[in-house]
Amino acid sequence: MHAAVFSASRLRPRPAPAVLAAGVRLALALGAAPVAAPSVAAQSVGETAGAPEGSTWTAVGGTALGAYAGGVMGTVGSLIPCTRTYEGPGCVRPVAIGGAAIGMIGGAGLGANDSGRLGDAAVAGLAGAAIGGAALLAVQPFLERWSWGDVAAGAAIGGAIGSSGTGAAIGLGAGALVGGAAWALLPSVDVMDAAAVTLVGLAAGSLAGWIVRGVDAGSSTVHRGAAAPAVVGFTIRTR
Amino acid sequence: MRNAPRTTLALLLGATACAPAQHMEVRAPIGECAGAGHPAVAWARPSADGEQAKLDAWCDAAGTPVIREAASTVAAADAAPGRGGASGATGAAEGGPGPDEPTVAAPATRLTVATWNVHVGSGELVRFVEERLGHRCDAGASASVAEPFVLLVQEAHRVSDALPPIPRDVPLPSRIEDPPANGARIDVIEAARRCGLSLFYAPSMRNGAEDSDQVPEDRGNAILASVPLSDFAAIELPLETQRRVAVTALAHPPGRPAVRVVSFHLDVAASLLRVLTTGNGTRYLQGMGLVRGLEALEAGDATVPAATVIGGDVNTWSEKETVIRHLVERFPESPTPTDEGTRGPFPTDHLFVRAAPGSGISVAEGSYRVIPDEYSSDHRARMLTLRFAATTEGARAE
Repeated sequence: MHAAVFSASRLRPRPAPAVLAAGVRLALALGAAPVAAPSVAAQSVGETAGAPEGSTWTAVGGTALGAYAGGVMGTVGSLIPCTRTYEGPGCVRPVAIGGAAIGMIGGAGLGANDSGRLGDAAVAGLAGAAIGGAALLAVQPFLERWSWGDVAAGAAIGGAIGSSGTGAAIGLGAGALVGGAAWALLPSVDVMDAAAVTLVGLAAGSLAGWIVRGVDAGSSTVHRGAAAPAVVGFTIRTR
Repeated sequence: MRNAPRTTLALLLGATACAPAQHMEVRAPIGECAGAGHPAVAWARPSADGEQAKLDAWCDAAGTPVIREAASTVAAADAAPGRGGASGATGAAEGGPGPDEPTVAAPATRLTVATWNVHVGSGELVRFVEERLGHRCDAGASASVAEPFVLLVQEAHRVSDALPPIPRDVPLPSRIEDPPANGARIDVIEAARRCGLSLFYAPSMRNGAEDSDQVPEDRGNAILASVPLSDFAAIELPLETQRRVAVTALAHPPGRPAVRVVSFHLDVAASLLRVLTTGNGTRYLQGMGLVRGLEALEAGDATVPAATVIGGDVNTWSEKETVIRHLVERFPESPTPTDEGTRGPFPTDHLFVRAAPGSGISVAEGSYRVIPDEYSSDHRARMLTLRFAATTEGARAE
């Protein structure tokens, strides 16, 4: 009678202790405040276990972080363009919702497959929040009206930008370049049009960054799974 | 786990929820600025209780409205427009027919309406009225030789020792007190007196806290006119950053139906938190509050104006902004908004017109323009000319 047991190494969500390990990494990385760099290159075949993986909880965390960042970026990016429309404030809400949805998708993918990079994004978000809040504190003497709510708003925006990674920086730069060029070359484009394009670039780059990181994390996981050797165990019984 | 994304999304929706447009009601503020001694001034304000309490705090530091009648009515409706000193005028010298005495004047063919932010006394009102509206302001000639006009003023101010003491813990803006390049800084009351103009002024706020050697001041919107004014009303706009009070009155061009005129001033920006939570809707909310306030006042008003002209400092950064689109929709006879800057490169100041069907009132083609000289203010004025049809059958509103 034969009995063959096949077991194959496959990717499955790690249990809670892996989250604790990820938390330790977060704590160690706090001082550096790196900006997570989205990797567009898939991991090479043959890379074995040892790369960070995700879990259900990190997926939840990634979803939440992505939704927050995407919603804030969608809001920020639509503030000026929407004030040029008939709908005005009514135009901001669906864009914010759309941004949150895109961020959720990207964040879920990132958190589910790469808790390490999610941790990096969270750390960068904290750093961005600190910078944003500090900036609003710094301008207080120059503002007619100021409140702690404004500091919180600045922190929220800074956190969203920080957690969005280099996509935000790339988008901001591209938007500023296009908006500035349009303002310089086209008489019909005014300063606020250029500012609008800059912020749209920031938002678009941020959202793209979430999607790219989420997809990249997922594809890296697939490759890790494919590269892992299949372990087949069997026993031979003889009568 | 499944609820986490939904909860997150719900919080985000709440955070980005656009503030709904304010409901306005006919109601006077509670405070010094309401002017218990001015029952002639009707009020409209946002109906939300919390907002009213905040607005009342601002009101406590400001003075009461001011109403002044012109020294004389416009004498000739077809006097040459433009710069002052045109001949052919008839009318009274100072001390002549006052507002209560019947004057014989041909029906006006035009009414000039201008809007100008005078930067709290920096703008040379008297020189502007003389040079741009053709009205002589010297003490010896109170009769206007120009065509009738209305000047909608923003950041007008009043200097008075009679202002109430500043209560504790009320919001105060910074004091603005920049002298004009030419002549002394005078307030809108003095300008109206010197030029013999009708005046309606309702302060929005105290002009900052005064030092021991400074006289108390308040500032807000005003209407100056060479024609009689009536049916005065003040509209507290939805509170965004500062208390904003639009002023409105009926202007009575000689022999023509009344025209409602409104002077208003919107906030330039709200706090960052407010920008995020309202979808950058500060000026839209205040603009719609103005529209709803006018509707609330007119709902109980038997007098239907032949036309309504609103003008002011909208503080827009572009002529394409939402608030302008909505105001043009509600004031369909408005000239097309332009991107010509009135405060530096920004088109902040605009005029909007609505004419009653069959009134025969229209905006004279090519009359909508920006005045190139700032007259020591930080804004340039905008101006247009309303044209009355040769026959106005059924156009009388009173």
